Amino acid sequence: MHTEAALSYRSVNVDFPTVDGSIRILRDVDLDVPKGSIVVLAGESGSGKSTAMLSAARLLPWGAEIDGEILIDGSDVSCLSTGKLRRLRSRTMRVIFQDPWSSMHPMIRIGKQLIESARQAHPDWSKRQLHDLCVETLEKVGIPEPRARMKSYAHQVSGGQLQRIVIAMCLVAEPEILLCDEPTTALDVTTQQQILDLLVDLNRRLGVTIVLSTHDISVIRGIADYLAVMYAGTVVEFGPAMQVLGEPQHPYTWALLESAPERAEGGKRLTTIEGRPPRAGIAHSGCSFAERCTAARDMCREQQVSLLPITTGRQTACVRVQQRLLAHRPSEVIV
Amino acid sequence: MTNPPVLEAQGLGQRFSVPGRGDLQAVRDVSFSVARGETLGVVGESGSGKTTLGRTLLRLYTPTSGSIVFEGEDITRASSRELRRSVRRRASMIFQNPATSLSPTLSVGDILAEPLRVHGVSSGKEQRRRVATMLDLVGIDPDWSDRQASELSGGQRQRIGIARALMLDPSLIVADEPTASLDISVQAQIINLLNDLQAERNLSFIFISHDLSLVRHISDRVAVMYLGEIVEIGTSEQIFNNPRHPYTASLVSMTRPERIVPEGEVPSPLAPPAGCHFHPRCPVATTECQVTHPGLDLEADGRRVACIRPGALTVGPPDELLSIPVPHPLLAH
Repeated sequence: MHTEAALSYRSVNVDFPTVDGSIRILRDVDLDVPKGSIVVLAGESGSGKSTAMLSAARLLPWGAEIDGEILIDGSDVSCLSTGKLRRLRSRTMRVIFQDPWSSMHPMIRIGKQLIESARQAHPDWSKRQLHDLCVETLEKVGIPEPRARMKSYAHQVSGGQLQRIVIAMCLVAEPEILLCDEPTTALDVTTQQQILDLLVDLNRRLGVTIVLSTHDISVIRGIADYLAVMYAGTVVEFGPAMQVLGEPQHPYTWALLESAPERAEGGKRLTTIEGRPPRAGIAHSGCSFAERCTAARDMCREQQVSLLPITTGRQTACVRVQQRLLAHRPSEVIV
Repeated sequence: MTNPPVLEAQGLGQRFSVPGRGDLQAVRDVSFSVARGETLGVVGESGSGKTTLGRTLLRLYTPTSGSIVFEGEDITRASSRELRRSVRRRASMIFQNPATSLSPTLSVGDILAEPLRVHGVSSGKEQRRRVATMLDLVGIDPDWSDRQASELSGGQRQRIGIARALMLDPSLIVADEPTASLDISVQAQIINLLNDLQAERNLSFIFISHDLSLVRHISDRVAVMYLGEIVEIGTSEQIFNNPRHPYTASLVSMTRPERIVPEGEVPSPLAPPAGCHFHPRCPVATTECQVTHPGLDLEADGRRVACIRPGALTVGPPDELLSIPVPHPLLAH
């Protein structure tokens, strides 16, 4: 089904500068986003999910350094020229942020902002054409009376409507990839569902590849084709979403799913993950989850860990799981 | 009832005037009671009035109508001096964001000692001893009392927020989205802590949240709010296994594979729709719903529902993929 990658990370490290020297935010990220799919990056705060996403658009803080390759259409984003980068951001790949209010200019009419966005992608179109495209796109994302809305300001519409408008502002460029950084976190549950339904619909109808970051497991359940679980700056598990949710292989994925209140029927205690994630930039040997893992052994703290295929389409970074499966099915694991 | 309720609200209303835009009825005709040792969950979307309700109950606002009885005493119009004797002493609040609800200039020890000092409960050595005991209780090293809140992680700060709420040994705690700013693994630690403390001290909780799964987990009874009103109130089982109000049903369905997504968004509380407030978004509304504003009626099983067609909208079965525990990838072998 999804074979070709729309976006690939190859051993990506990202370092942020601080007064005490640089700290490593992403470590050795390997990830393929299949064309036309919805991939969810799930993780807690500080896991690097936003950084992973924003590094694909090179929207990182000043001084951040990307090491490794981030490939879109065969070219490496990390070393694109300014002109090509501009073209990438205006046409190929668009970003949707968590808070729709801070994504829109408060004092410029919505229509003008949409047209500006469309013009970046279609510089030779006439104003009439751009205007029609914007109205059409507003209609596509479910905005009632799109012509009237073009004349509104951001504060005159509700949060859910505004997030739809932000999505429309991306769609006017007919992008191949949509990066959504916690797009529903700021919204109410019912509105959240409407936005997720819209994203799935756009993916199915227009074939746009979607990468979405979230910390909310119920979001993953509804929309993800593939799930990448991130912990301490790296991907620890990847696979088809339903498989990862139904049969998690990394102890962190398991613990994360288990700590959800849904799993504690009848007033049982919630399962907790003791301790806290390691602070960013602290070097450690072995698995970064070992300190909090109930199944950790000495080898977890000593051995170098990396994300390896375990079965068809699934990868995990747990050395113990890798070892166990290797003992059972050696031929499948060797790449 | 053999046990008098800790808190009882009767026809409670809270209206604010919005300059230039008229009156905003944030809470409208809300009645319920909370028994000792009980947790009442309050769910609703933003603008439903759940936060205003929590604040009005503790008399951070003075209600514009109705009454509040706390531990047998009517506090609806009590003066600030009277309040200091009753509800300020015997009830407390845990806020959503521990980063902004703890003073950035005081040490952790001072934050916890402040309630004792304000109410003249103890002094000097005794205060320090109580602070240390409390820190230990919420799982923070007592040696940390000299630290600033800013030196702590989000989960640790919320533990301090909980410790502060417990300093005067209250009978009631209003927790307003206490874990909304925390990661899910930390949320589980905080919820377990709240459950332990409740069992130990026979505390009553009013737990305000938009997270249905969480409310279901922690609450004995649940009130569902929409545009300032309670539309359904009953036991946790009643609300989540067999919701009767269409709004409750659609909220509950968000945690299930078959979702019933209401159309549009919550209308502005400045101009609530006529008739049943939910009718413009309700999938089973009739023409009568546009004109009749339903009262909160008692049903045979003891719950209350404000709908002229209760049970018209039903929810599908729960999501097995998320609710059934799976074996640990390593420990099961």
